[in-house]
Amino acid sequence: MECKEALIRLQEYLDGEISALTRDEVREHFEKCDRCYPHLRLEESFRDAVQRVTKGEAAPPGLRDRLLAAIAEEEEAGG
Amino acid sequence: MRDGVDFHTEALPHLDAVYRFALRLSGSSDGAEDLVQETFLRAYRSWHQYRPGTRCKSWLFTICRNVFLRQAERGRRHDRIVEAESPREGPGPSDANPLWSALDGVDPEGAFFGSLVDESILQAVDALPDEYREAVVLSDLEGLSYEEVAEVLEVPVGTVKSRLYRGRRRLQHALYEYAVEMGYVRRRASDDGV
Ligand SMILES: [Zn+2]
Repeated sequence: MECKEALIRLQEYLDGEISALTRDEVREHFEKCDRCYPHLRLEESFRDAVQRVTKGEAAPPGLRDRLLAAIAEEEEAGG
Repeated sequence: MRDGVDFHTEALPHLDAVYRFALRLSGSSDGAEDLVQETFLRAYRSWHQYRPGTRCKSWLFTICRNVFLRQAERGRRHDRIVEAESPREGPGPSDANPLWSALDGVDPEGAFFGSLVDESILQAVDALPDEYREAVVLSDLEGLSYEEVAEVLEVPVGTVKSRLYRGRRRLQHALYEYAVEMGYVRRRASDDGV
């Protein structure tokens, strides 16, 4: 696989939306190619950062109870 | 209990995920709570339409987004992208990340994004135009597949790919600009035209 194709496939590769065969070829290229490898690192660190920021976010404590109450009300109303 | 699949055990475990999505859509915690309430009530009412085996999370996201869009039509934040959108547009030939050349030599380990504070990243995500933000949030934050994102957004998979591609690039660019502004990285002399 050439650099050009490896870079074009980088997004699908990182999204896991690629056939196993192509995935191996892309991975092999990035492992071997010093020019492309930093691109992979940069994209990976970008995704890590974006995923990191929302990981701990949870619904506020009271929301679940309010929701259950609203649903129970709906149920009683004959829903 | 309806149709053999229980709403409480099937849908409610996704409360946090739907809340996060609602938060990114509405941009405020109050707005998100309303949105989540409405989403789950609607989901409850139309639970008979839910087909077991389909991903409940995507189904809830779809409802959540529809509720949001309906609210948005009543005059809230929904900034449509004006530029023409081609589903084919994605990574093109010789399409290296422009950010890389900007960071070349400054960040050899690619650690740039890792050094940014959470708040700045969230703000940059929230500042994306809706179409990009939705795609990026569903894919990068919630881990939905292209097909699932396409289903939620009601667009072809090719459009999802292109929105993700453009949305991520915009986000990266915004974060780079922010880092330069904050003095985390120095803009390369060539970028200043010096
Ligand atoms: Zn290469």
